[in-house]
Amino acid sequence: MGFLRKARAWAPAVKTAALFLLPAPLVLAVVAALIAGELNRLTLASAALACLWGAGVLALQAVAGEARYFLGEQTDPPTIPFKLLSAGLTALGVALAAVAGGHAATGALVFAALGVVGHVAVYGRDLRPPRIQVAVVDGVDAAAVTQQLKRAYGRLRGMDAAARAITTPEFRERLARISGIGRSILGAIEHDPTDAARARRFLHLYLDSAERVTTEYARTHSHVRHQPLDEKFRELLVDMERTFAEQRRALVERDLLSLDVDIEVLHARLTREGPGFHPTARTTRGGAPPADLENRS
Amino acid sequence: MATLSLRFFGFCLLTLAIVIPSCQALFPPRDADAGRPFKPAFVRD
Repeated sequence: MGFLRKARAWAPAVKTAALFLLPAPLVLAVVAALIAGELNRLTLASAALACLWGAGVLALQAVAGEARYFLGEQTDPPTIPFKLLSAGLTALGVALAAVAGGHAATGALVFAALGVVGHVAVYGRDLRPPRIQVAVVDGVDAAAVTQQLKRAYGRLRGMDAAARAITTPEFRERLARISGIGRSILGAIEHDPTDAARARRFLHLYLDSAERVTTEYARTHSHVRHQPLDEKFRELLVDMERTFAEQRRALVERDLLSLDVDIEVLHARLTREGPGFHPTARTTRGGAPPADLENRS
Repeated sequence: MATLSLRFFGFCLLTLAIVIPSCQALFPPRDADAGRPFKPAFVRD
């Protein structure tokens, strides 16, 4: 069922097929121009085809980068504005095709404008990297803290992506709340990076475990209902939500001792009961749910 | 729903913007007909 989580993130990639398929008449136009020996039409149609297919490749790059970013596999969205470049190439390709079809410059510009508007409406704009502004504090390596925060945000995005693949609304809502609290904790660390050292275990250990457990649950139980396991996951989510809230409180009140104890207790539980909440879950990493669950579906 | 409508509108626009000039590149209007207003055959007859 991890397939579902990935399929949702990668679904926009299907849209880029339009930029490869719609210019199909241009392929025939190139062949026709070649047979008729019309050099002008051949050049214009070939250039238009190259531009539109190039735009398709760039749009695919953009969508692939965004899918990896939303799954938490990359800490940043693509740095190159692939969608902007793709829209530009689309405009150029459409204008060249219009000129090849006998339009004057004005007509070609109108088609190019339509192409750009359509491209932006279908594929949207480039994602901007989130602004992580770590306050400057003496004795704190701001670059290292920024990197830690980027990884932590990536784990939260991974949890969000897993939550979207879970069909139970209650679990989705709980995970959204947990993710929200997690973001507020990271916001507090941005504001005061000295907290990063105190919340190191939270950033490295606990967020990682929480993401893994959620992803495993989404992978194995998103469609297969199994009451005892659901109940166990519910309990775990309640614990996670409470602990996240405790982390936030402890950070605000600078309660170092309770911070570490809470993490220790919950991490032990996550390690013991996750991922998959089932002894056979570890053997089903290929995507198939455990055999006993399949029988129950 | 609004996003879906926008995507659909954009897809229609992109389709028209690419397919119309591509088809015209495949079947370019003849120079002799280019400046002449279109008249159906039964009117010409």
